[in-house]
Amino acid sequence: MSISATVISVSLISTALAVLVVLADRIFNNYGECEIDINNGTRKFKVDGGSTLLATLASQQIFIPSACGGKATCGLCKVRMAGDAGVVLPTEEPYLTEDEKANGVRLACQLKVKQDMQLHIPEELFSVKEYKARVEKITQLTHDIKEFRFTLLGPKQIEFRAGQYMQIETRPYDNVREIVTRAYSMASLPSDNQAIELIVRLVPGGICTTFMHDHVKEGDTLILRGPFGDFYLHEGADELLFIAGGSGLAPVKSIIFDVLEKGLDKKMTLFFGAVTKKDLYYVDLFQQLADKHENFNYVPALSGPEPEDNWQGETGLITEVMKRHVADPHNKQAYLCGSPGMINACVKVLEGIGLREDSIFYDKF
Amino acid sequence: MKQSPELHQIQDNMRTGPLAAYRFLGDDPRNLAEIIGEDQQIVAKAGLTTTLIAERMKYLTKHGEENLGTPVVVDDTFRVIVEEHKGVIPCPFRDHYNAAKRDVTVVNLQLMESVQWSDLSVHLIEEHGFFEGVGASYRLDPEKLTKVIGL
Amino acid sequence: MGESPAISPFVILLASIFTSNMVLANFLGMCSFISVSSEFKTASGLGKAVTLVMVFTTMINWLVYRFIVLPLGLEYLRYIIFIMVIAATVQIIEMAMDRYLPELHMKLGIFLPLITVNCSILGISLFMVIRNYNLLQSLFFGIGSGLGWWLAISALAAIREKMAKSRLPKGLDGPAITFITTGIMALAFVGFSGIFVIQ
Repeated sequence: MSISATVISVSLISTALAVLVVLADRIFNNYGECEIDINNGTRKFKVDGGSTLLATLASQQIFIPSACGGKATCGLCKVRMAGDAGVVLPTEEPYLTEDEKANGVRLACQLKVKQDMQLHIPEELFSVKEYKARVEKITQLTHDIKEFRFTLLGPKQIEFRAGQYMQIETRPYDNVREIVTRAYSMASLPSDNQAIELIVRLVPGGICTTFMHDHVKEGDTLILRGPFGDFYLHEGADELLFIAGGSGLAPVKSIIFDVLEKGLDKKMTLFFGAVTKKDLYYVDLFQQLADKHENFNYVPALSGPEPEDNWQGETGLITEVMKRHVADPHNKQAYLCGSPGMINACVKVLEGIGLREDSIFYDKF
Repeated sequence: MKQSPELHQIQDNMRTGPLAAYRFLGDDPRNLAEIIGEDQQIVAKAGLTTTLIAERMKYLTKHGEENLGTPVVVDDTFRVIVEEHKGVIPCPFRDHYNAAKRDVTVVNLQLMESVQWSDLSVHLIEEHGFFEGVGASYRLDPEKLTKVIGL
Repeated sequence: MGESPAISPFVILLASIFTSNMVLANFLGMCSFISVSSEFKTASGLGKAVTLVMVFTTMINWLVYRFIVLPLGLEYLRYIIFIMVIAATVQIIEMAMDRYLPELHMKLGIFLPLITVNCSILGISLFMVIRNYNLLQSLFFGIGSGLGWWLAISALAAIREKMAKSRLPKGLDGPAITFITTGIMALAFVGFSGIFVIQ
């Protein structure tokens, strides 16, 4: 047979098969309309089934926290399902305790919407929005820490409590083809409501931090989601202890300035731990604040100062410095922000001094 | 070397899939089974096991971590710095192990050579015999590693 | 297609499981046979998936051959056409399984797309054409070939699981001993020869 006849027949047959596969996809992956009912009717809507619960809710402007973008590696997107939501997938298993499984808790990024669903999520998530933001200014604070100031483009204003965090979405760069979401606490004040400030410390090999430090310039637009988190000022004490390390100054700065702006009658002490002088930042900012306000005390501490630092301030690990300054737990609350190791060590010290668990606050991500 | 479809899937994830950003394979042209196999041979030739190596790494890490990022000298020979960051890295071998982002830098003061590893590196070596591909940012050459940590 | 041979479909079924086993007598489908036979559970799962795909593809390929390829005189294109049909069929089966049998789909997971490149799938379609099987014979041929493949890989996996605890000479570990074992199994299956003859 001639070549053209062969080519035509093969092309026709493969086209026919491709059409069949597409049709099959339409038929089998079409789950029809499903009704999603959140918090016993607080929000109800109909959607086309087939996508994950996380994506489906996001399309309705309801954002469940997620740091891994749906790959079942962070376990943050837990929702409580009522009724039958299907069998728990092996990808969800490692993140769910037996209690959670018994209560119908599932990972929203793994659950596919195939039928009507009823679920429960924390109320605060309803105020989480997606913001388009432009990078207004990037400031180098230390050799590996940068401050990013964003202007909000849409929505133009944000409402949050000092100490909460935002999720930022990266864009593909270099070898990285995936979009990744990471969380950063806000250093800006709630009153500065048309902007957001984030402090980002470069982690060697870190996907998001490398993106932020090396590939984001002033003028770029990024997507931020939030506000999330229950790390904010709680009532119950008149003396506040703030303990921060590395990029952990962000939420703490926000809360301290917010308290002073609101004129609340609280005595505040900020313990900032670093290794050498070059890891310190915002020193002048907090020193001036301490000079100006009687009720604010600033205690920077270096655990391994170099001789050329000529360091006159406190030395030692932040846990030791804290012990020297805090004698009793009376009327005190502690707000911690830093690496998991630092937080664990400080919590032990504070509990040793006598502070109760419900007076110690820290971000758990 | 032929590898099972599961290993192949894991390799694909590392090379071009969702875990590509972590660059576990570096620029290594060998496939995953080869990398693991050849590194295992090097370890065996030195008369060691991956368990021994991992134990040593954990020992050094433990002594360093209490100092929260400040350098500490262990056994008069090793200067250890343990730095921690928020978040977790999932193990690429799908065993649902999530490692803390803890970076350990060890300087052997006698040899004046250093290596760097993360919590995940220890798990990869202990459970999977995986020292990462040549060119990866956390590639631990078995020969150099054992020399620096004093095995 | 010429005259179909006068063999009972049941004979074809039994023959394709034992005497003309795809893997052990015809040495087709060796690739995944060797690499996925280290664990019994996974091997058995793959065997089930292969059987399912074999049945579907034989049927569809028979219909395509009878009603499209022959009338249009496209026999020389049968390799390409069969492969395309197999690929499309596997995709559709995957989608249907995900919808109606999600648990099974989850368990078989990665295996389904892998089966597309299993040469025994293409093999049985071509055999059915060469031997001029009719529709019913092809159906039983597909079922039997699948069951035979499943039997072979499950047996090999069971043996390998037991062997995993034995001390083997260095160099024989892995593919080497697997091939030797397969060869011995094939020799054993020669014992069935002559009982049912279809090739």
